[in-house]
Order: sequence, then C-alpha cells, then structure tokens
Amino acid sequence: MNNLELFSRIKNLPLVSSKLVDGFLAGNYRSVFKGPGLEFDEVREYSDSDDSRFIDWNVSSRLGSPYTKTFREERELVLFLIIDVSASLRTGTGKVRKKDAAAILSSLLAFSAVHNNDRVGAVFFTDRIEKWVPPRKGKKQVFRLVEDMMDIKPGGRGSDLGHAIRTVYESLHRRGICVVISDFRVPPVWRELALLGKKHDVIALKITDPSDFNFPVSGLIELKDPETGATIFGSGRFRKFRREYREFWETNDIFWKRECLRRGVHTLSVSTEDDPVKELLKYFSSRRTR
Amino acid sequence: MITFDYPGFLLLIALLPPFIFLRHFWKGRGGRLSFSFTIWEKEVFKPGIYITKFILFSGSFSLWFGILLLMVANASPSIVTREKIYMTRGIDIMFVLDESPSMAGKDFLPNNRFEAAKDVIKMFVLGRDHDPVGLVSFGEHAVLRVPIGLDYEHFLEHLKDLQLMELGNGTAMGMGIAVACLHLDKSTAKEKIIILLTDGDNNAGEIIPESAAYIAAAMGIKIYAVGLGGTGEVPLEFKDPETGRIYRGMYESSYNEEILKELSDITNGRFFQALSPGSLDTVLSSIDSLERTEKRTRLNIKTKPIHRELILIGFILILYDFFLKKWIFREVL
Amino acid sequence: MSARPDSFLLFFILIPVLFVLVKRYWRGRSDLAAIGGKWRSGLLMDVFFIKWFFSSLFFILFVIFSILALAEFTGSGRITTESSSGIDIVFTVDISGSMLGTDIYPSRLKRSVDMISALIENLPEERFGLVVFKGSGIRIIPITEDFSAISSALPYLGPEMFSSAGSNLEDGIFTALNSFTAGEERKKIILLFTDGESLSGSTSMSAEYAKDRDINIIIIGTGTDSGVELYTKSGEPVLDEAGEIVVSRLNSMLLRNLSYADNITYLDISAPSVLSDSLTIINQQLESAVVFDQKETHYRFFLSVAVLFLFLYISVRIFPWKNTF
Repeated sequence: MNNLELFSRIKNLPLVSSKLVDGFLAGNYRSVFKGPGLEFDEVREYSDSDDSRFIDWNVSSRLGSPYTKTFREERELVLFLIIDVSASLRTGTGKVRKKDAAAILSSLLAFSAVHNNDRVGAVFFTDRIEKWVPPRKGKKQVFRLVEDMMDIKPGGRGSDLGHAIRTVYESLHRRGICVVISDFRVPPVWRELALLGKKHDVIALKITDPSDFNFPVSGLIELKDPETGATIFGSGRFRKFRREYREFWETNDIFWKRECLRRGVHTLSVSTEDDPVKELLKYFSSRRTR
Repeated sequence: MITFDYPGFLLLIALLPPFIFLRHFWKGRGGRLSFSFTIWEKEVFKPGIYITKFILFSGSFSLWFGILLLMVANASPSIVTREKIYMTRGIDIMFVLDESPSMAGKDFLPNNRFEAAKDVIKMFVLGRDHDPVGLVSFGEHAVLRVPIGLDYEHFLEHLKDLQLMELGNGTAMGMGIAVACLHLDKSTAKEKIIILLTDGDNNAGEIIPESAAYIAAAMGIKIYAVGLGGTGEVPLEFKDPETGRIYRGMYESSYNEEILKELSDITNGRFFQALSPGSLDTVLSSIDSLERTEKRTRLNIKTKPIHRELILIGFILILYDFFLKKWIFREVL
Repeated sequence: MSARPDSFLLFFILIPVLFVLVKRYWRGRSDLAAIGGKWRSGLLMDVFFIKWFFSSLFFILFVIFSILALAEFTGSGRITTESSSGIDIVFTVDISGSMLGTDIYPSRLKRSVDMISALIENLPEERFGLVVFKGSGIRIIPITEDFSAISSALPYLGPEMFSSAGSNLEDGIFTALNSFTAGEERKKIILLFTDGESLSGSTSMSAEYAKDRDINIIIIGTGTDSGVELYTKSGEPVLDEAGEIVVSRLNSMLLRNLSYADNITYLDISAPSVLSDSLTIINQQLESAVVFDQKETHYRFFLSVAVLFLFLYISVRIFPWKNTF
C-alpha cells in the first residue's frame, strides 16, 4: 500500500470515527478511561428549575439562602499519541506495513478525540524524538498529524521508547490519555510506563504482523534487520527454525502483556492483517462490558 | 615442485579478499531482505541452526576455494620433477657370502660373523650410487641369490632373509666364485668385482678356488677377498634351518689365508683381514673407496601440467556450492 | 581440436543446473511474496527477476566456459623428443590355478613361459625382470642384464610357488611398476600374461599410474573364449560349490577394455603372430627415440572468461539493486 492509498483511506476515517464516537465514545469515553468526571465550578443562588440534589448545604446554611453547586462540563481531555516510527515498523508480510497500520490506528484515535472536541497531540520517536506535535483541537490538527506521519523521514533507526515516554511525562502536565503505538521491539520500559501511568491513562497498542509469530515456510534467504543491520539466515524450510522463531516471539509477547498489566497499562494487539476499525471497536466494547 | 608459466596471473588472487568481504561482511551488500528480528538494544533472535550454518559455511568455503583453484590454474601450473640420469655405467659388484656353520662364530660381538657380514654389506650397498649389485651365497653348494641389478630394495630384502646353513654344511668357495662369474658374464659393465666374505677353507664343490679365480681373471673380474675372524677357539651357536635344532660349541677357527691371498693376487684384487666388527667396517670402506668411478649424470626435467586437475576440482567445488544452496537449501537468491 | 573431447560430456550438467535455476525462479517468487510482504511485491518481483536473470545467465556462462577450458582446445604444438638407451621389460605372469588350463597347448602357463624365453632370446641387449602374482604380486627377479637368472627361474613358475588365493591383477601390475629402477633413460614395458579369470583389484588406478610414468603395458591374453575344465595336478577335476567341474575361460572382454588406454596393448597368445607382434611393439619403443608433441592448449582464455562470469555472478548478488535486496 503506497502513501496515496493510505491517505485516501485515512480521509475516509472521520466517518468511521464518528461511528466510533456515536456508538459508545460519547459518554462512555470517560468511563472507559476513568477520566476526571464532572468538575465543580461555583455556587449560585438556587432557583426553582434547579435540581435539589445539588444544593450545597454548607454554603446555604452559612449564607442563609439556598445555594446550589454548578458544574462545568469537565475540562477537555488530551489524547496523546506516542508513535513509533522506527525502521522495524517498515516491514510486514501483508498488504500493509506495520507503519501503515500504525498510521490508520492513530488517525482513527485522533479523529475520535477530535469528534469529541478533545485535544490531540503526538510524538514520533525512533531512538530519538523525531517530531513533537503539541496537543490542539480541530480536524486540521488531525490532518496535520496524518501528514506528519506520512512524510516523516526518521533520522534514527532504532526504537527508544523509554526516552519518548520520559519526554512525554515531563512535558505533558495536564492529565490525559496516552496511547503508545509501537511494535514494542524496544528495550524494557516498565519503569517509564509505570511512571506515565501514575499521571495519565496509558494504553499500549502493539502492532503485530502474522510473520511476527509464524515464519513463512520458504527457501533460504539472508535476512537483514532494518534497525541494527544484523544478518541471519532465514531458513523457513526447517521446522526447528520456525519453532524457535515462534517460541522466541511468543515468550516475548506474553512477557510484554504481563508486565504492562502489572503496571496498570491496558494492552491491545492489532495485526496488520486485521481491520483496525473493527479491532478498536471490539476492544472498546470489551472494555465497556468489564 | 610447482612452477607457473604465467606467475603474474597469480596476482589476480588479490581480488578474492575484497570480494569475500563484499559478499559476506559488507554492511551494504545486497541479497538480503529487510525483516525485523531484533528487539532494539535488548535481544536478537538467534536461531540455533548450527548444523545448517556449518553446511552453509562449507558451501561458501568451497565456492571461494574453487575460485582460488581456478585462478591458480590460470597461471598455468605444472609439477616439475627432476630425475638424475646416469650417463655412465656403474661398477658391477657381486657379493659372495659364506654361509657355512662356522660363520656362526661369535667373535664379532654382539653378532656372529654372518650377521656382521650382512650388516656391512647392507651399509656398503646403501653407500653406493647407481652401481649394480648381486648376491651369491655358498655352503656346500653355491647359489645366486640376487642377480646383478640396480634394485637395491630387492637386494636388501633378500640379504636380510639369508640364513646360515641353508646350503648345507660345507664351504664351496670355488663354486661361489664360479657362480658369481657365470652371472657376471652377461653384464655390460666395464668393471666388475667380486667381494668374497668367508671364514673358512674350501672344502666342497667341484671347482677349486684357484681355477675359479682364473676364470674371473680371464673375464676381467677383480676379487676382493675378506677373511673373517681370527685364529683360535671361538664359541659357536646356530640353529639348523631344517631341523630347528640349536647347536652350541667351540670351534677352532682358521681360514686359509693363503688361498684368499692367492685369489686376490690372481685377479688383481686385494686381500683383507677382518678380526673385529670395526675392522670389517674399515675393510669394506676401503674397498668402497678403491672402487669408485667418476659418474657423469645429467638432470632430466619433466614438467607435468596440472591445470586440468585444478580446474576440475574447482569446478566441482563451485557446483557443490551451487547445488547445495539452490537445490538443498532452496536459496531464494 | 579438443584434446579432451570427453569433457564435452560435462555439458549434461547444464540440465540439472537449468532445472534448478528455473525452479528457483518460481519458488523464489512465492518465497519473496511470503517473507517480503505484499505491500512491496511489485518492486520485489522486478528486482528479483532482474537479479535472477543475470545471475542465472552468468552462472550458465561460467559452466559453459569452464567446460570449454576443460576441453583443452589445442593450438600449434611444440615438438619434444625423448631419447632412450634401451628397454627394461618386466614379465608379469599370472600363476593362479586357472593358468594350468590346457586349452592352450601345453598349458596356459607353459606357453607363457615359452614365449618369455623366446622374447629373451630375441632381445639380447635388453634388461628383464620377473614378477608373478596370485592373491598378491611378488618380485621374483629384479631388473637385471643377467637373463640366465630369469631363464633359470622360469621352469619353476606355477601356482604352488606361494599360497595366496585369487588373482590380484592390480597388485601384480603395481609390483611390476615398482620393479623399474630410476636413474636411467630407458623405455619401460610390462608384459603381462594373464587369462583375466576372477581378477580382483581395480586396474584403472594402476593403468593411470603407468601412463604417468610413461610405462607401456602389453597384455597377453592366455586361454580361449571357449574355456577348459580345470584339473588339479593329481588329475582330479576342480569342483565348484554346486559340484560342477570348474570351466575356466579367457576373459578377453575385460582385458580388451583395459587396452583402451593408449599405453596398453592387448594381444592373444593363441594368435600365430603374437611373438612378432610383441617384438614389433617393443622394437618400436626402442627405435623411435619417442617423439611426442606437447601441444599448447587454449584453456587459459576460456578459464579467464569463466572466472570473470563467476565474479559477475557473485557481484549480481552483492549489488543492492534499488536499495531493495
């Protein structure tokens, strides 16, 4: 899938994302992510139309007339996307690369947030911070994000998620929702994730590919790792090779899930093969029923 | 030794290391598909396919070794052998060795006379250079053991197998000389000598030593007569080859110095007396130095081109790599 | 002209090579699609086709030119002469039991011995050696001018000379080959008397070895194709496991096959002209101060081209085409 196709697909996402919002994000958004809830604004004199439940008896008794609490719609949320653009995402055996899947997912999330009149920002990282997009409102912001995602020419090849998380932690003061979109082929970041989780709601969104677990049955070919440039002999002909490959990555995946949950980080794996919209819907509905 | 007709082409071998580097170690080389298999800065998926790797290594090794062979073959290598060719005919040397029981006399310690004589003959022959040698032994009869020839290996083998008493209990010295003369007759050598090693008197055979010596003299054969042992009593010990019985005893040793002297005089040779192993050595080495001729030799240089073998082996090695990777391992590229 | 036309047989190797290459193409496409990903399959297929095409082409050319190099096309030759100062002949006689067969009068062995005597008489100037073989070879008389030594040994040849069963032609020939002494420029000939019956040992090695050392072999086949029943000395028939009388035949097929090498000649002892034929061969060796021309071959041109194509074959792989692979 080239950029043009991808872009046209993303352009159609607002429709889908509105469904996402209409279906359950409106109202449920906050309940899914525990959110700040209603926020106290001020007290004013009680009028007949007011709900008697909200009378502030403390103030009323002090001032001698009924006063009622008024609440402000809770402050807009910030959706912050931490997006991995390292070289390992520029692979994949399906029709789309992991990078494309990441782009679709992050745009989808961004559109949903914008629909909900929330602010959305993002950081793109490799082994360094590639780009910082401060949180803003509006569709324009989403398209800007999408464009950045398309055009970004990463300077680094590796993926230092820890560094990215620390940066976000330090620069994002308002409480928000952080979604880490990565293949999680990163050094251990549990401490950073735990730290981030204290301040924000964190979702770890792992982009996978069928070839992450099952090496295709194929002839001998030398494989070059896009990040490190290391070479191995890919010999998918041999059952032993395929078994070792699967065991290695499955262990890694189980470990990742366990460590995330232990730190209160929600996990979600989306394969390049799957429809990202469906996967997200499924995820949110399962979260809601819990 | 290997020589090259076009050694300059060997310089092309210098191409191999850079190509090996490019093919196997260069970071930017092609033929690799980008496929993520590492966790950044943490872990790399390393398949434990050691046997596969070893077989693949054998393939790559044969490929590069095969190319090396082809490049060597391109310099037109040949194996050069230098053979020394003797232009002159050597001296025919016939040993006539007494194997009568008295040769068992143990005065050439640690050996008996017979073994000592065999040892010095061996040393003598090994010291000669392209001189045909032959061996006649005599007891009661005389027999040609090894005909005159250059096959030293064969000569030494038969000399080793020689045993006392095989030809009966007697000393047919005259017969021994006669048989030696008979077999030297056909020889085309300019110089022929007989080296006679004995410790006794002629007491058997139809021909007396003197007449045999006259035959030899007529044929231009010199006789070097070597008398073994001294006079007096010597202990004796030998095994009869037929019955296997071991005989021990004392023996009054006395060889007929007169006859030996006469033999050598008749044929223009010399007589020597060897009382001990040391003196036997000296005797033989003096004969050795007396009978030396100047040898004209030339080197025959033969070159055998071996490029074909190298090409064939290289070709097979390269095909091995090809079929191994493309057929067995189904290499994509 | 090719000095080694048999090398052209190697062209058959192209069949499996082509087969493997074509198969690699189809499988390679599907393998690449599986590992490389569908999102870039167009690019991958393009690069793969180009790389596959050129590497296959270069490899096939390498094979072709290597074979042409092996074929050794000859150019103008340079003539070298070799002088010789006589002949050494080693008579090598099979003394296995079957040589007592009487299909040749008076017996195979006796007739061989007679022929040796006749040859010695006719070649008074030369040197001779004598080797016999059964299960192994034994040097009876080393090379010597003293042919009376051989003459006196000849009557005693027979299977009872030593006990080792079988008829190891290879060991016989090797023993004969090793009988020749170094240091002289003499022609070397082995005269081999055998009926070729129940031979053991591979002879091709020794034939090659003989050729390397410029040794000529004349094989005299003793016996007839119809064969003869074998009897022991006491007149009793030799029986095989089934109780049948053993019939010994001349294995002329095997011996003739051996003589395809150009330093080996086969003659039949029952032919009337066998003696004169062998004398002719021997005298040819003696008279012609052998002239052979060692021709320069053009292999180096083909070899260089082959190596060049091999390097190109490797380079196609090394080159990272379109930054893809």
